[in-house]
Amino acid sequence: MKKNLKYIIGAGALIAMTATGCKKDFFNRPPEDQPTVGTYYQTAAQVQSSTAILYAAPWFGLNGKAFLAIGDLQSGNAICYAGTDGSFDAFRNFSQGNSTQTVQSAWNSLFTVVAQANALLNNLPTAAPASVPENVVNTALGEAHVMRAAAYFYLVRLFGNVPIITDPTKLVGSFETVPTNPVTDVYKFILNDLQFGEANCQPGVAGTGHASSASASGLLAKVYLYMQDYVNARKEAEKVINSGEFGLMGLDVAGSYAQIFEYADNNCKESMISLQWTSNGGYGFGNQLQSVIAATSDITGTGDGYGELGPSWDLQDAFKNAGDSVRRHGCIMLGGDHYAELHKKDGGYTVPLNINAQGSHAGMKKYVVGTPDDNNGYSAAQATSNNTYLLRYADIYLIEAEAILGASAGVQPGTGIPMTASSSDATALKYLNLVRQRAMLPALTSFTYQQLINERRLEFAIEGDYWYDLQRLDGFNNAHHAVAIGIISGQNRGDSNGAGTAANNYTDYSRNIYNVTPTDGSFLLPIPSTETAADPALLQPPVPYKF
Amino acid sequence: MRKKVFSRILLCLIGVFSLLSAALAQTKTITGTVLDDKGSILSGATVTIKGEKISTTSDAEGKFSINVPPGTKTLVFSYIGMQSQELNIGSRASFTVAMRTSTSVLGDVVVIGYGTQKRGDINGAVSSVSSKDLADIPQPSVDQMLQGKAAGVTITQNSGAPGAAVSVRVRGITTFSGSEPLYVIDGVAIDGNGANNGHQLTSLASPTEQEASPSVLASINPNDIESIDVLKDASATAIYGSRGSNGVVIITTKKGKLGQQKINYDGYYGEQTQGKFLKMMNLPQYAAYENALADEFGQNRRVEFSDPGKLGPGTNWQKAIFRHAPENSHTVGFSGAANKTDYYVSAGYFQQDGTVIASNFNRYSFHAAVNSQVKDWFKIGTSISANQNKANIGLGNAYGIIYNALLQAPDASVYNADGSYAGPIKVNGTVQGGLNPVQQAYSITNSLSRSNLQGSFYGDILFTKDLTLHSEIDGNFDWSNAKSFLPTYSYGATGSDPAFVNTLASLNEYNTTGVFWNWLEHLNYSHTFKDKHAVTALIGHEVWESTYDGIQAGTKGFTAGNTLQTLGLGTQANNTLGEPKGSSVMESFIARLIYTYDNKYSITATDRRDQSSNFAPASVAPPGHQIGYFPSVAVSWRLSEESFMHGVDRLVSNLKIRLGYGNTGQSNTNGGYKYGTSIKPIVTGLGTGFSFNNFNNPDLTWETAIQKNLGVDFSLLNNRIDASVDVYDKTSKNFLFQQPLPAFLSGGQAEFSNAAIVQPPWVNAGKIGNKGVELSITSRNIETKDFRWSTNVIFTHYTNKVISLNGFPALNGLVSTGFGPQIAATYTQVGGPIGEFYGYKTQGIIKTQAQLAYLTAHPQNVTGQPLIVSSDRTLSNAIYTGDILYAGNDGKGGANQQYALGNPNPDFTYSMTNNLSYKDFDLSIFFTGVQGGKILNAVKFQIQGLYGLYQNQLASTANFWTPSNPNSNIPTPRSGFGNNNLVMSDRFLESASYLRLQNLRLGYNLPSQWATRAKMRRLKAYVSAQNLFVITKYQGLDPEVGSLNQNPILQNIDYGRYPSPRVITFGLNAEF
Repeated sequence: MKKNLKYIIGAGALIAMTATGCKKDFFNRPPEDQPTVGTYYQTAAQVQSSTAILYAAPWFGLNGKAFLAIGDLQSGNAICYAGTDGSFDAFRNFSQGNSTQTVQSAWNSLFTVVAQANALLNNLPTAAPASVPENVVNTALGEAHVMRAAAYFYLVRLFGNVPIITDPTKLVGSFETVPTNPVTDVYKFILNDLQFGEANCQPGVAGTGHASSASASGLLAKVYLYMQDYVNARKEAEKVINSGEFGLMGLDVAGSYAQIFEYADNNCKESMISLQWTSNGGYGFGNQLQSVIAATSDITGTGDGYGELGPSWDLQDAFKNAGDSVRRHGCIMLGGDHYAELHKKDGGYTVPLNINAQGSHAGMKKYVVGTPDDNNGYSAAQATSNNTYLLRYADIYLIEAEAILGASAGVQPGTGIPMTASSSDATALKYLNLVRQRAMLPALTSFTYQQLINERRLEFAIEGDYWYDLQRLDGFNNAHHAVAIGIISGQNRGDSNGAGTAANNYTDYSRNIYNVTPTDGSFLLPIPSTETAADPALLQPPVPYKF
Repeated sequence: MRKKVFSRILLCLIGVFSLLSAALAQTKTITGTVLDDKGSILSGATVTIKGEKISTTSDAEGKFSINVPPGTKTLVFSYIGMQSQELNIGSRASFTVAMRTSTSVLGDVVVIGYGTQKRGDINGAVSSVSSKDLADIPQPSVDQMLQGKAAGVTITQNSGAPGAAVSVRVRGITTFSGSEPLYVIDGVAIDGNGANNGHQLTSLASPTEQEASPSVLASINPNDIESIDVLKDASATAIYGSRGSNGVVIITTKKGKLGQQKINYDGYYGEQTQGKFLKMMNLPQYAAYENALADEFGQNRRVEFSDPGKLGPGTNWQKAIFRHAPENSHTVGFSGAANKTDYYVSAGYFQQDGTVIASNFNRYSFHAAVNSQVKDWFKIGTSISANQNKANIGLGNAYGIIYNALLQAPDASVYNADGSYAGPIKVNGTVQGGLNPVQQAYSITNSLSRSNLQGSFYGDILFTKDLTLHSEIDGNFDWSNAKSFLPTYSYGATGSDPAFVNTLASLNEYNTTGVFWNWLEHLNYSHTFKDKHAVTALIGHEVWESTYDGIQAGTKGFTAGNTLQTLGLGTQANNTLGEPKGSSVMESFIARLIYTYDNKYSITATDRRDQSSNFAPASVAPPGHQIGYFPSVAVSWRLSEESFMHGVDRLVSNLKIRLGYGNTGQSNTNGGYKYGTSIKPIVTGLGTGFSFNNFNNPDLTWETAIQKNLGVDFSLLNNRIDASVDVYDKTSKNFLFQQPLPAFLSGGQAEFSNAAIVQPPWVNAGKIGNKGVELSITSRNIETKDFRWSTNVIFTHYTNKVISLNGFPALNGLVSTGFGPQIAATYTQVGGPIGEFYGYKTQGIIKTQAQLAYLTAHPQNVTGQPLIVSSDRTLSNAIYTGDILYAGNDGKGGANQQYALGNPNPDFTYSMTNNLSYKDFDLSIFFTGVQGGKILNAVKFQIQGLYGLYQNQLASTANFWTPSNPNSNIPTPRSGFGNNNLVMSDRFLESASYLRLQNLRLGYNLPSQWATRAKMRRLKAYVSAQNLFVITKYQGLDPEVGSLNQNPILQNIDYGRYPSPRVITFGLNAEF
């Protein structure tokens, strides 16, 4: 027996060993900290939460710098010093190339939204079991269509012809030959997406931060307006108005113009589609706008506040000439201004007389929300919790007015509404004047297109929108931009000389003059070189999309 | 008095261990004394009866006593490092035996994985380093000590920061997902890629840069190591199958030696200093430069700089952040053996301050190894290590303290007069300059502390003399805590106008627990038939499981202040939580046959079958994806045993040719489950959102590397010279990598965040090839009784080439060059090496109107759009005299041509060690060098950028081109980062060649009679200088740059990397 002990022990060890690996599940190691496509989307709640991502992190790269670099710097609302930061400088004078990082960020970020929307659209119908009510699934699909459309709406306006992607998995092996699709097809694709969204999203839910059916209608109205389909633009705008879901803050609901942009008023009555940031995830998940444009770290209290943009003289004058102090105070800050919502603990913030972001003798205010204390703690470095608006209700009123003017002006698509075209249509005036009323400006009895565009500029200043208005002035899908070039070349994009002294209230400075004349080619951004290197077909003429 | 206590402790320990062993009682006895070649007592020599298993060892006095059965004729005496001796007993009963030092390494035992072999018998490519080679090199971690010690192994320190990882490349780079080797420490396998072990420091300097990963080997006390064997070619590593594709480094810890009851003390104290400083501008130079810059940019000069000559020197920021830093290390070891049990126990302490303020590293380590022959057929053993180490790195490596210090203007002070931190100047109400690096260093907490328990336990059953069953259980348990705390601050000018304010402190902690276990059974059969046919066979089975579970928690807003840095004191609204966890398993069957005929011809054949959970199980995809087979074969022919060589055997005492061919596998997909799509939670303003993490690929399976190796080992001049040469070719097949996709399909990184992109799929496609040659020569130049001199030379050369990327044109290695946009600095493309630098070629400075006229007609395009000839220096797309002229203008206004600009991989690396000893003195001179290759001096984008006011520059940049300074080759200032002078071009590339006196060491051994008088066996004192000088043309702080976070496509990019210090050490080795 004793002699055999070694054999018994040895045999035992070997048998125990071979038994271990036998279990079939031993080698099945799905992730333990993440669900999978096969295990998620099993309940209504899971399906409902699946769309939250489409309003958040994927948009981060657009929201950071590209949003304002393109929408406000390029359009002449903002200025920056020559060459302070390569992210902005080129947009001052239309010298951005295909390797400018801000251009890449815009492209990459928007296609990240498309990728996440596509993944949801392609997986959800098969992953969700029959036990999840159909309308829950359809609502999620509706939202995904709306947000994909929102991303493509930016893409087509920024880059022109772009590839329409619906199922990337099929293109993994042939990415180097994917062509772009023409602008008109991209618009048609956007309309399809939004119509699906209008039919499937829930009504009345925009206050929860999710796109509602009327949100889709609102974006449809804007897209139709850009396409110069004034009949449908007006129809969709009125759908939104008639839904009663939205209102103007300061008119229909208590508050003020400036309040729309505060954290406490996220998803207020005026919010139709907005990006839902959080300060809690660190970099990449919060709203970065304040850190980029707040003039000092004293304002943010979180070490950031780089003052990378200042309001241009052109914008400052536009507010002054319009006698618009409400929206001026809400958009830009001047020395001596007082803001009760900033530094609340100290009884408010009085702007120092020597404020001078980028030589503008002013600073940005819109999307500047102050310290963590000012935001109930929901604010951090490079990550605040206030929403970014992609579409708000005031736009619908101005779309309605423009659609009426556009229809009466009788312009053909491809030709812009003449700047002098005017209207005294009662409905158009009603909605235009509501927007003016909130800004405490006198009601108009008739308005020209020039006045309407100006109204839009002041209402949406520092919201990344003015550029697209300028871009469409010469008509839908028109490669020539004579009117817009005329406006832009007249803007002073210069900074100032001399900083002033406290003794004379910092007013002894002189404006430097800097004029830039863009070309027709300046109205589209180049597709990033990294993309065209991977897929040279992007540089070829567009190929019609097969719907 | 103290010594008495010491020896009593020792006695106690011996007593304890003696109880473990059983005494043998025999009758007929032969006795004697064993001496070494100097006539000194040699304890621990093994005395065996030839042909029997009976053996004993010489005791502390060198005396032995062995009971021999009747008829015994011969005794065999052996000792590591000595030649074996056979003695005819005859009728004598007492002997004095003088052993001779072995002049050949061929008899050394080499660990080959699941077994050992004599160096001379090995068919594969294996490099070995013994504790002797590593002794007295004051390095905190083993991987650093291996530098220049093993042929074919290229080691660079990624950072000189205390506790930081090194890049270890065994025969080049074979994958993009980490090319670090597998470390096997007493049977416990540890992945060399730091990040794969869940240990990650965070970089607080920049949200976009990962911090250099900590060394996975930082937890091991180098003093506990007996030997390191590096398995290089497929025939050597195939036994480790898929895990060995990047090479295997086997680390064997010390064991007690028979007859040597010893107490060892090893200790040193070192002083580290920064050897090199960059010549930045002092205040007068800076003021003159700022004036010139203001003139160039059309701005007003600053009033305070009206007379630069009258200014003082200003702040030297490099002096402010570098310091003299001490380090010290103490290890006490107890070892010995009594009869059939041996033991080794040790305790160590290591403490190191970094040469950059506020960084440090410390380690406590304990190690115990016990082996016992409990029955004549049964042997057990265990090896257990426990250790705790902690590294503080402050702001971090990439864009960290050093980078900030270089850029900080000399007109800014470190402190205000009241002792508070000063900030940069304010101009027109705007702060101009960066954060104070000294304030950052001292106020930020960024640490990683790791505890680790590693153990292995084995039992060997001897069924017959030839057949053994080896059973082994290994475990590795890891706990780590990474902690970063950014405090509140408000500092700058004294008074109420602070430059920088942060009211929101933040704390992030990441605690991980890792559990790894491994169970191994293998049967070994070893027999020599008819004296000529030697057969060794092994079959085995192994299973391991690795699990990790980490808790990430963060909070912000500490009302209680900055002192108590604990999660519970944050503001609840800011709390964040995460728990990354997962597991992977592998099961393997292994088989190896070694057959040698007559010591001349030998063949080693191995096969291994691995089943990995990284690939789809049968429930997801058709079976078979999980399983890979990795065979290899190697043959050798020892020509020196042939009769035709006998005539020259004084000249060529050994000559062997080895030929190997084999497959190794690779299953690393940066975490498992790439065969399916996971859903990643992402925080949003609407609560936790769920994003699609990746494209799935259910067909994903093993990558195979096919390796061919030809090696020659030879010994010349009566073993005075030993040399090995190996040439190899390593080509991967079904290359496992993440298919790069354009952003329009998967999304792409934007604003430095790629949190929400759908990760492209992992695929089996593409091909990478590595070819190389490596050489190792050891020459015993002089060997006399009193004077010895030996030289060891190691040479390593490899080239790597990308053969296919599955249709994608190139992988871009993106580099941040400061707070501006990232640039694509490296381009890994088909036909080129991995991580090749790519960009524009400069052709000097534009100086003439003729050049401008040409540029008007042929616009350059290096920024993505054609450049306009204009003297307006504020236009970002203008070009004029004083700017850089680039090569390759195609005359069409299209993009200029970009070129492959240089290879980060060296042409070759080399090292030379000379060991000299005269009587009781020994001297070691160890040089390492790198020849060829380029470094991207990325700091230069900023410190010779000449693009903006208020940041310091290299003193040399003041000499920029102007019409009145026409001979300069430094471009004129041009505003704006990312302007056409600051694109990626060859002007930022520098030679990576260097020769470093890595270590110079002088030791003195106290003569043994004196040592004995002091109740010691041995006492050695030494002084050692590490990194005494570097000969290099590189203009940065240190030409040894390594790779960023061990990423193969971001090699040799200097972001202001923490340089390796110069260290002067005094050490003592004592043996009682």
